[in-house]
Amino acid sequence: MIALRGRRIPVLAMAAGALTLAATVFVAVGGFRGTSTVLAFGGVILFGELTRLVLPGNRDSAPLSSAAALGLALASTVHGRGSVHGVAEVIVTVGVAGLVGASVHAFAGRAPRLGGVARRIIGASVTAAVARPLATGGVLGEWVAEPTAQALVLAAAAMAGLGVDVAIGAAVRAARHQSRYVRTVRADVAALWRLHLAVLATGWLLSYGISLMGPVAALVFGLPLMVTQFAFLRHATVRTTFRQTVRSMARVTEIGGYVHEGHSARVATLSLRVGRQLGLHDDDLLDLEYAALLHDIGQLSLTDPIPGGATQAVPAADRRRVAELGADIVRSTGRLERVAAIVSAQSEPYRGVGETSDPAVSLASRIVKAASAYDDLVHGAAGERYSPLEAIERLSLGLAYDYDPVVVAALGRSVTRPRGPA
Amino acid sequence: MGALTSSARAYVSLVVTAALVAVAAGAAAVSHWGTVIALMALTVVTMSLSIQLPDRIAMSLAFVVDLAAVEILGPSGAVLVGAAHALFFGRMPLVKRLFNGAQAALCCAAAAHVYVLLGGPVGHLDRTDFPGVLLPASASALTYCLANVALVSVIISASTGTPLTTIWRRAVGGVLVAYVGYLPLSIALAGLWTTTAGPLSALLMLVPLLVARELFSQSVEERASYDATVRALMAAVETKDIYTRGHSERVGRGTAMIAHEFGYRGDKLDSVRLAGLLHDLGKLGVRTGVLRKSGKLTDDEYAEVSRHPVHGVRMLADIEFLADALVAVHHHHERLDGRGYPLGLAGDAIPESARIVSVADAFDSMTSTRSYRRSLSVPDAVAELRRCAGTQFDPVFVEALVRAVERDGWTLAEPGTPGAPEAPGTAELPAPVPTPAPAPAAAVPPPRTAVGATAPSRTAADAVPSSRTAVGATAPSRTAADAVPSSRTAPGATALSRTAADVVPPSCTAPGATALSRTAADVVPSAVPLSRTAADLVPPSRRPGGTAPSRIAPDLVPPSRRAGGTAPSRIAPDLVPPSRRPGSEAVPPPRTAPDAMAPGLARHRGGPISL
Repeated sequence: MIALRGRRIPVLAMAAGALTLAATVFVAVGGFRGTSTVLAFGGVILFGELTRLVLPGNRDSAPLSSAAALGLALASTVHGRGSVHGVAEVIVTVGVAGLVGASVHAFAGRAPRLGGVARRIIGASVTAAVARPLATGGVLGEWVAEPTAQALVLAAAAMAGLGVDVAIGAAVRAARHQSRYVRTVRADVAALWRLHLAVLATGWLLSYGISLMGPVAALVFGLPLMVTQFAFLRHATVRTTFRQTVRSMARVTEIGGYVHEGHSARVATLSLRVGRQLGLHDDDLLDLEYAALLHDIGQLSLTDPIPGGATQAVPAADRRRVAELGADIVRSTGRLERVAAIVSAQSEPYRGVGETSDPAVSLASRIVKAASAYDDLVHGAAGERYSPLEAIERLSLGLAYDYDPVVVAALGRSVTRPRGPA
Repeated sequence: MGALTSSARAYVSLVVTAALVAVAAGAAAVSHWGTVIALMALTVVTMSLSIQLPDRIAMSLAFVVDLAAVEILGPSGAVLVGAAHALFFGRMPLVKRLFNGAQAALCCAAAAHVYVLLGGPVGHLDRTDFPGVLLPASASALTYCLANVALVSVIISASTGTPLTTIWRRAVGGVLVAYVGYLPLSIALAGLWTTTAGPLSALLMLVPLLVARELFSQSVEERASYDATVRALMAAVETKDIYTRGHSERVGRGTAMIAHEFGYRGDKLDSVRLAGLLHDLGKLGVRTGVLRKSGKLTDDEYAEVSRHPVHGVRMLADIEFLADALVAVHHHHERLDGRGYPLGLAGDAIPESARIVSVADAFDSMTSTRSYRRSLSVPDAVAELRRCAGTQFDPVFVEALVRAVERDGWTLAEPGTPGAPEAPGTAELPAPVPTPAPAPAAAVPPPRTAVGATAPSRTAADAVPSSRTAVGATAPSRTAADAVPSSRTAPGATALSRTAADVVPPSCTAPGATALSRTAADVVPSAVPLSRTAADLVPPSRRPGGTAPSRIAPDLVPPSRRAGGTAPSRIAPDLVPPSRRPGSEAVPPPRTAPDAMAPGLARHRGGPISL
């Protein structure tokens, strides 16, 4: 379906585009209803699109846009009179605002991120499809007359719309990272549930606020969400800075001649790919990335660099010592305890003789170990250079105790189908 | 509340009494007790959940609730809601609680009366009231703001000695702007509360803000872990025997002190502090052999060492946050007279941040013991900095450093235990350094029993670099244990072993970059007679058996550095919430200058001010 590789964005964008087009035709034929409301909300949606967020893990989100779309879909009375806009008007508004926003982003040299726009159009359509007939007093309004029941149906519609948005987003990401769908949904929800909560609350308030103050409500009730958005942005900036700094610091070993050029960054990229495939959560992925970046930092404590930096080529005892020294350095930050544990266990075999697996060696450690060895082989740190396939072959055949077969298999998939961002 | 003068105490009593009268009158007149209690509860919750935005701005939603209470309940009920400010969850001295509750109650009363006078609708706010309600609502918000600043500024002025007008000037603008932002929220809250949506919907307004609050606090945590990580990594880099251990950390701190003194705040301050911390990272790109070389450097080797700032820039280029501070790393060895490196920039052509890092770098180099020379005392180092100001250093930043060190002290490198940045000795200024330290009389509370009681960790014996024998250090895999002490490989006998490192603190009189014969002796600041005995280096107060001479003014040492001292001396201790006391302050020293702004104002821009 949507997860057709290489086709996913076009499929999604085409679905949303067709929806918008159909709604536009419908509105053009039947006439546009509720112009002032739609214009006010459309403005806020556009503003939300322009101030969209790109959060860690390359998740894009436009909270204010989603909330305003929700408010528009749910609004039952506007300034005391019953609201008149229908499903088609909602879709057209979200669609046009989204397209304008994406064009502005593209014009400014940023990625338009049409996938996100499409998700929001489809999500808003789902909510509007339930809420508009109810709010404008159609057949549904007669069936569900009780106010409390109406509120419940509206709330369910809001959540359904958001749910569809999340589900589509996860499908795209699962395809991109070759990870399991359910795990991706869980990871996405874990990363963004607070933002979703804020969006739902704001959308709900907007639909009430509009009956109280008219279209101005869109601005007033959007304020708290702007603060939320700022908080997310701030948080993302701090994380990005941290990551860039750790990356630079990891390069210290390269410039000092301990490790071959680009090793840490490549191991981190590979580890992340494998970790995503194996369904690690965001927090675990972050730890994994830092551990991968810093896995060789212990070499700073060596007087003489290991030739080529190939840690896998030196005796196990020395390898363990480098790992321990590195873990000590990481531990001395006082904060990155879990990262230190990963770094520390990276030299351990994933199982002892007769065991199926050593529980003390975490999945992250196994990933870093395998990814580092793979990079050493491919870039010829120990002398000879191997092709990716040969390297995987060596990891999986020759070193059965050292490398977890599950990890090596995932690694194989990552390097033979090298897709997706770092 | 011993810190308050009797007149301040009288003032607090007056405010509290007036509020009590207003509350009693309000309680007698109120009819909707359910609504009153619900709003009071909401006030307590929002008070306890203030949102700390970056740059010391706090969002207090309690103000939104107060104003909504004005519109929902009118004067009698609003007074009660305001008084609920005293019920804030968390630790706070009773007097402070009472005062905060009392001033909020009076503000609410004033705001509500203005609101009613201008014909604002009470207890019912719907679409028919728009836009008519905007005038009375704005006026009541303005009244609240003015009353709030008026009531609180008096007590702040009384406890800090800052003139009232100064506090007003600083507070009114920020508070007003925030109030304009909060006003629509309060109207919306009142509207939701009194119409079909109902009080529960009103609570939904809190959801996005609570989410924001949680994220901000997470950001602060991650920020701290970021700092810790960078520091730890720099410490790891220093184990390579590149430089004296702990140097980066101290230069980072010194840079922050100067920058803060000079008025840097927020991200700008953070970024220049990081530049200070990372300034020598590029030494990793210099061959270890050259760095460790004893004796003279050849021209080629000298050129290699002087490229380390460029290496540093290359290593840090990918960190966007540091983009502004990169120039500091690049140019921290430039001299004001243009004889520095790598580019030989002069005067104002040298970026400001680089001039700051350069001062901090030199100051720490001079005050730490190197294998080839002993450390200078803080006053001697200050004198040396001053001597070189104008030729090597920017005098503005030299003086900024001196002021900051006078106020906050300087954490010296521990000569006894190389590379133990966690066990710092505390430096005090033994004598009022050239500029007489102006201790504002009002600021320092006279009865101070605490003396500079930091146990002298340095003895004469400690000051001499203990005989650190060079560890062979050839085994390819060394344990952590021997990795550490060997970072100081200098045998005590050869005084001139680490020439390369000395490219760092060149004295302004030394031939520096142009000299043909460069040895460590050339670059040691010439003011240090090498013949000085260890005893000379120990400040008199620390000599065994020596009693503290009278010229040490204990009050110059910030109490936070005194043994057991916790309360800052210049602000009435009881007024500072526990979390803001120096002991519990998170990472870097940049503290708001105590006399710059009272704590309530400094931390609470962007909301109603309180103590």
